[in-house]
Amino acid sequence: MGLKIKLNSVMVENQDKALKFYTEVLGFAKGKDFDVGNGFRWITVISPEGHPDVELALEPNANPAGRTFQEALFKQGIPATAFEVSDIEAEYRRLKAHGVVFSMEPTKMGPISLAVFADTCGNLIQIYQPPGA
Amino acid sequence: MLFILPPGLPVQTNASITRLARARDLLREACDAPLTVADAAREAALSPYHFIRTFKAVFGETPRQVRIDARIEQARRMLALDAASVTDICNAVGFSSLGSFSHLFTRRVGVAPSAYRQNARALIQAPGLLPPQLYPGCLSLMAYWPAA
Repeated sequence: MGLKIKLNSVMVENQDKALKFYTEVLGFAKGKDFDVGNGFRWITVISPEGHPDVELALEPNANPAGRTFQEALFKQGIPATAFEVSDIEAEYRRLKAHGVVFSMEPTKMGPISLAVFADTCGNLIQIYQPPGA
Repeated sequence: MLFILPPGLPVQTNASITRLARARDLLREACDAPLTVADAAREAALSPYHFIRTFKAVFGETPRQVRIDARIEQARRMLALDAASVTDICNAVGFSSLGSFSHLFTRRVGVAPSAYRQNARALIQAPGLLPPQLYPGCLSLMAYWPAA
């Protein structure tokens, strides 16, 4: 099989602000950033601690269908995506100190721990600590 | 998105998050009707002070910015698709002064309302449908990926 999974994406309200939040607050590194015209950019971030060739695209939610979907998820409390962490309590405290608002504090669910926060770009994002981390 | 949750786990919708989202809807709706930040704060069941702080921490923008963005967005749509004059559109989206509307629109969008209308109309291929150039589909953006 020649198909590779290398790209995930979240929709964001404002790409400049999103890049700032995903790098400066969440701690990802900037991957690609190029202009695609009409005021939009192709922006990706990568995790300095994950696989450098797996990218998260910060896509504009300018398409009304995208925004409708994004807002419906938000209202239902459903995370747009999830990131793994090795110490959820430490991440929770670090993000809280940055003023990040959590809709779910770190909570144990069987063998894993979850927390959910607002990413200031229109999404809820889940972080989880896997068993044995 | 994680629709699939471990069994026994209710989807935990934080009530205050939902109320903030409702307040955001309110700020965006009824652009032509007067609405104060205090009204939206009531929807979120917060004092105006806490509402503005929490709103900004959750959505990255103040309630006022969201309301202005919604008005500009509505104006963009109307300029592209409606036959109404710029003045009528200005009034319809809740601005009483054409001067301040034009100024704000130009600052946010990069071109004046009349120029935006001209550009947008030139791009429209089917009547009533917004040109995809202005509302891109997700991964179509990758067509612009620079050659290595």
